[in-house]
Amino acid sequence: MTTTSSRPFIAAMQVTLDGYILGPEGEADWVDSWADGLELLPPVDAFVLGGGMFPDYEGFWAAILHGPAAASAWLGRDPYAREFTYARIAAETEHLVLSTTLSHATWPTGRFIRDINELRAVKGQAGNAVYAVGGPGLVTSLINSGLLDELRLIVHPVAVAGGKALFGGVAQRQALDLLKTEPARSSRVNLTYRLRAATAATAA
Amino acid sequence: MGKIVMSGPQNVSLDGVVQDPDGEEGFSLGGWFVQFGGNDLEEWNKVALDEALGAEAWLLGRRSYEFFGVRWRPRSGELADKINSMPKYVVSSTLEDPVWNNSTVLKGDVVTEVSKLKRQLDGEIVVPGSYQLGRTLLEHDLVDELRLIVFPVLLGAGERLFGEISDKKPMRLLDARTIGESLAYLTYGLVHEA
Repeated sequence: MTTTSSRPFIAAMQVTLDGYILGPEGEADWVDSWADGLELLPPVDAFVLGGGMFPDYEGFWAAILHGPAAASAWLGRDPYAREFTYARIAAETEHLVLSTTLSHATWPTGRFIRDINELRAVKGQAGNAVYAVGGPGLVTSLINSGLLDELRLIVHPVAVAGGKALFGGVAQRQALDLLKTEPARSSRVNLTYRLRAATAATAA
Repeated sequence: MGKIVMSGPQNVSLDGVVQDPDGEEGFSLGGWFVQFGGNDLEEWNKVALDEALGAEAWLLGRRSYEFFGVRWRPRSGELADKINSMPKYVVSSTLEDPVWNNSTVLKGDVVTEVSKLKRQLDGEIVVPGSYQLGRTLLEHDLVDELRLIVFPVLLGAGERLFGEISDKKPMRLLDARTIGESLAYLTYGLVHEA
């Protein structure tokens, strides 16, 4: 996926079989680790996040890096090796946070952007892929703007019928190409899709 | 003891929509089965044939029963012969004297009737299409297996398969593979907590 002419934006999201990121009570107890998404990706040199999730995100990964005891209390278990790996990579990788209200990041590589169109310039630069971390609002904005190239889903084997839907904000029909169907541990399926709208925009 | 299998296979968009795959119900985004199935529908047909040949009976809602009846009654061939000859149970409070061969109307309470059917039959009782009936069966933990074919499209609106369940439905993945180039075929066993 490495390219010098434009950087593919790739989202890696953990969803229930019926498409929810969080359940009716705000829970996501089917998720084993939030580090799992990054493991599906090629090398990336920037992360993009929505402002809604960023405060919790930076608090969580800072705890993994600097306060494992606090992280263990948060997780109810010791952090996994892949979570330390995620935190180390994240600490060295630029984090672009789309927010009109936040202005202060404790995360060392955090940088705020105010308008999603600034991401077009980021996409046009030379470099590796860009990881769209979430939340669902940001991912659907990227889809609706034709900026998202690939969607990698970890589909968990449960239907919850309520909560925060990943695709709730999709504004118009989007055609996809399936690149991979891959059964994974714990009854999960990893599905990789290319979005045709972004592919067409890049080609043009 | 029969096994209730939501299949046919069950077509669904990546965002979970099951409404109007054939564009015959007037849904503005209907018709996605052919539009996004494309050349992969040849492989889809093979899956459908295998599923039908393995079925003991079909269990349908009235609308799907009429939709499939119009389609299959005049036809012959391996798949049509199997579908036309096997027992078909249709859930309806209004349907009288069904014309399709080997059909039985289930008129009473759906949960009671389907539970009885499950006890009476052996093998796979396949529920094709019929998402409204399917939702009721899911809600009452009567579904044993779910075979989904995920179409490569986000529709952004429409009726969803899991739109009306009130509790979490945990499952086990039994199989996952690609059909043709762009259809994902996912088989789940429903985990019923005793």
